[in-house]
Amino acid sequence: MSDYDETIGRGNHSREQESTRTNPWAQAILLGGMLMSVVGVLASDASKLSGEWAKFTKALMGQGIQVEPSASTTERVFLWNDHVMDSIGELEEQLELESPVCQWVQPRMQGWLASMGEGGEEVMVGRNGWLFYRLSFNYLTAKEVSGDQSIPADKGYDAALAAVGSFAEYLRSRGIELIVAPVPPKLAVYPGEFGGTSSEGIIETPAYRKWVTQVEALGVGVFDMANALSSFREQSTVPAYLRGDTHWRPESMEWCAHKLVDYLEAKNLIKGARANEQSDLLKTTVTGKGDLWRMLRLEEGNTLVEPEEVPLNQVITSGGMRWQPSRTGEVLLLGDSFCNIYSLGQMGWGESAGFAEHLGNGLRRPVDAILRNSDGAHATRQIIARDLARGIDRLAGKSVVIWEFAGRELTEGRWIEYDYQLGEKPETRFVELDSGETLDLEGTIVEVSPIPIPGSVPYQDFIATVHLRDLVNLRGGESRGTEVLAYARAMEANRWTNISNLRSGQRVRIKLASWIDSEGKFGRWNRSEASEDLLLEPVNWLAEIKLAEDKE
Amino acid sequence: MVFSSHVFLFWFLPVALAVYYLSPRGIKPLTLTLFSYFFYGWSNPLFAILMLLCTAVNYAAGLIIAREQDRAGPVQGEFSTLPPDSPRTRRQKLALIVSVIASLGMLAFFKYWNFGIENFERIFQAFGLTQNGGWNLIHVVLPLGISFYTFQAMSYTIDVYRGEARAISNFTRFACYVSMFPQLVAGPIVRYQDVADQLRKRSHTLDKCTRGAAYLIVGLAQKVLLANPCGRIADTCFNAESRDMLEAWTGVCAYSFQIYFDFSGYSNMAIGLGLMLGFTFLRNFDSPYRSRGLTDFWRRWHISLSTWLRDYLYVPLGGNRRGPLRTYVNLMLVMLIGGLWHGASWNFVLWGGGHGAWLAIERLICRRTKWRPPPILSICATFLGVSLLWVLFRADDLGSAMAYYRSLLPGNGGNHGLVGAAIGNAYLLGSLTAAAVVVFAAPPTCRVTRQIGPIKAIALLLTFLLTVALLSSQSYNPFIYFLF
Repeated sequence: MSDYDETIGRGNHSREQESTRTNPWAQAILLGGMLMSVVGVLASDASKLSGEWAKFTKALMGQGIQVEPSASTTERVFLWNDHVMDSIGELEEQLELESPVCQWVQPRMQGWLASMGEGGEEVMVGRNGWLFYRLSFNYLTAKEVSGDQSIPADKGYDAALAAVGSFAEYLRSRGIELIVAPVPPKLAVYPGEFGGTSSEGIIETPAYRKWVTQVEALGVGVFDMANALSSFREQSTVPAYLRGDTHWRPESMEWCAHKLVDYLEAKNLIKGARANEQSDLLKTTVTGKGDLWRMLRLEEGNTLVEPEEVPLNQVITSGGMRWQPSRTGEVLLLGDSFCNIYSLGQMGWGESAGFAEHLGNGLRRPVDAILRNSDGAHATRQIIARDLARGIDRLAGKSVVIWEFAGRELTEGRWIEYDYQLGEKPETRFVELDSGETLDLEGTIVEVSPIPIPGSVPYQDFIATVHLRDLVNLRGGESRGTEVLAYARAMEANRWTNISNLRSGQRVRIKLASWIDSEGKFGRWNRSEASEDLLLEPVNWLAEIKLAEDKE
Repeated sequence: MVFSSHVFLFWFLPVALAVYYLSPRGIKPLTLTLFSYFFYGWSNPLFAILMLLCTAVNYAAGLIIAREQDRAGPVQGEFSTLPPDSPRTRRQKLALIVSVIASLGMLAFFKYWNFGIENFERIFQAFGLTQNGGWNLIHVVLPLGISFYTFQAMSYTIDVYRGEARAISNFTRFACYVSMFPQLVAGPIVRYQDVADQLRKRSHTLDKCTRGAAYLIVGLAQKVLLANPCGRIADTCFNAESRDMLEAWTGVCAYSFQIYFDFSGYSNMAIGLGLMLGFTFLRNFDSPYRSRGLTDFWRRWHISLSTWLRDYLYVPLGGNRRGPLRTYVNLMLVMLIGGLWHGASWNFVLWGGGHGAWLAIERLICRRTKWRPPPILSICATFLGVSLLWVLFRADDLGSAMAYYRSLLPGNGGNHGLVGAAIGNAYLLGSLTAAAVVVFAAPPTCRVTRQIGPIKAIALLLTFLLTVALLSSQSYNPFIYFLF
């Protein structure tokens, strides 16, 4: 402190300085230890993540910004600012996710926290190895959002009521009945396993009960899944839900499917005759730990949740084939991951034993299905509305539409209103490939739809929509359009694919295929769509992609 | 960029410190300013321009005020102080008015525009006058830390005008004072006269650096180990539609601890980083929950703001020199403005009003009687009162605050025990208990860091490692005072 001016400022500065006593050993331990740990992390990060900083530097230099030639200087500055802020957000995310030291430390610390009953940002730890989804907790405990001016107009119970009402009205105009079937969250059925005091019945919020009454007043049927699960809970020796997953067990799912069959038959809503024979059931088992366990990001060997083995009844048609939804079925099932869990292999709980399969088997009639993981509030209606607008009528010949969604969507979901109007295939500037066709193109990225952070969502696979323009056909000839929308795998097995690295303005080479050929395999994955104004444009499948500068 | 983040701790800080220490003495202020602008621009690059504008206006005002009387010019980059008692010229008055209006105007626009328009809308709606699409044609985004740096910059011009500080001719040094990243976005509000000499000349010693590191670790631990879990409890209780009495009181206590450790943790980190850069800042908290009354509380809580309000608002209003009634009015006014400074919402105004009323009543009682309650009683009563007023601070709106107050009374319904179960795990309850122990029994940070031997150094290092390990596994990391 030789050059420190002792006369400065208020007296307590210098007094405080004079009273500081640090031992040389303490200085070495504290400063040396901190320096070693900070520089160690920095060095290990730098070895893996220097590319991320290079990308950020490029963004800072303004590379990759799409600017209209007519844009003013102010508009250019704001565009640059938005671009840099996006890059900052991505860089911070990447640093925290991909830092080698964080990747090593995180599961161990999370294990320690979980052993003390503390979960993570998305998961809450209950008793006896039960895990719960935090959004479900919020749904059951948080303040009602209806009528709140600060929330988006398409969220909350009022928006849900309006969306159900307008959909039902359209269906009714075509002679189709709508049945909604919200699935209660695990926490509502098993509050005791969380530590709650309610041991009897299923927790329902007053807002939910009021909403059901309002929906019924609109002439829409409500199939009470809570009631079905309650009766299952009373008579079964196994729980209705998986311990480490957000979803139900196969036994309770089958139970609910059969209760729904009884409900439909009691209401006499289906006109067609039943088939004489039921499908065969092939018994098998599947073992897993669940999406909640995965979201906690614990070490592989952590024993907080033991693997659960559950019995599956796979539905096999009389011809020995796997059950498949049929476009000719007069019942159309709209559903989310509760329908997919034992049907979509990527979810890790087996195939051919889902809700649609058991509903079809119980009804002994063909059943059509539009299923998409997550976004139960709008995703399936969006598919119907988009198809209708493009002249594809998924509702032709239907007499009943059953709309299953997770109950928490009532507060968390986006209840977007759609215009259900049968149109004609419109003229478009976007490329549209038919089944069996492929195209090799070079184009410029306009936008990639949002991609979630691995581990922050209950699903481990995700599809994003890529928008390209300035197309060049690499095989020569026409590009069949000036722009392209294509679905692409953006996250697989909880890892981002190279799609997540794409930035607006980059030049890429792609192999494009028809979405018709890939829809069966990927159509039920979670996905994000292009911006609202492009919802009616045709979408293809992006089979391969690489940066144009990475030429072989 | 927040201090308790990966990018700050493992990228920005080591690089900034390395470049700063390697810079020649004369370049150090420029290095620090550039890193501070990078730090600030990280949240939104355009906001950096706003800060530069505020800096330039106050710098120019200071220059005009000083040049008017010190024709000889600056010596070693500084003008001499103005004689406090001599009359100021019209030009000097104008410079002061322009700088204060520019700074407060900027703060008012960015912080209170949306609030003002909302209230206009309500008034017009009450009279049946509505406008299609609403009145608010623009939605103004609040720049980070604007409340802090405008107050800092203004204090410079006012102090120069009053003859309490020497105006500076070196723009880089002044920009360094306004933008210095340790205290830029959440204080403490450093007054120019407190760091003027340090800006010119300061020491960098191992003693200071070690103590700075210790301050940083204690602040980081307060934030990550105490404020975050307490915040989790408070959020769960405050966000719930209903809660039973025990849950409601737990939520109030948890929020009291959260806001204290969140803010004092940040202040300690700022002081620590300042020391590592060679600066000594005044402490911002002095065990406030051990206060024996609200007057005492405001001497110990956010000291830099309360002294700023005292020196630039309370005293110019007349302070306690114009009789008891005027003193009470002044107290009320200062606390109402203090409340509004924290945020543009009626909740904050009510919170400030509550504090103002309490201060006035306390002063009145102290004038009338010499009796003082036993310390334990006055400490408990102060903590209870301050905590109850925090409900206004935390609740989303007035309706939610009133609902919360009702749930503090017996006989209200719970939520099937879900809230209690969510906040009742060993980690959260353990952290809440530890927070209470630290609040009421632990020595203050300045004493903890004053003398550091090998054992304390090892303990601090282990705390640092535990804190950063927890940071990597928990993404719940809000910073309350960033919103102000």
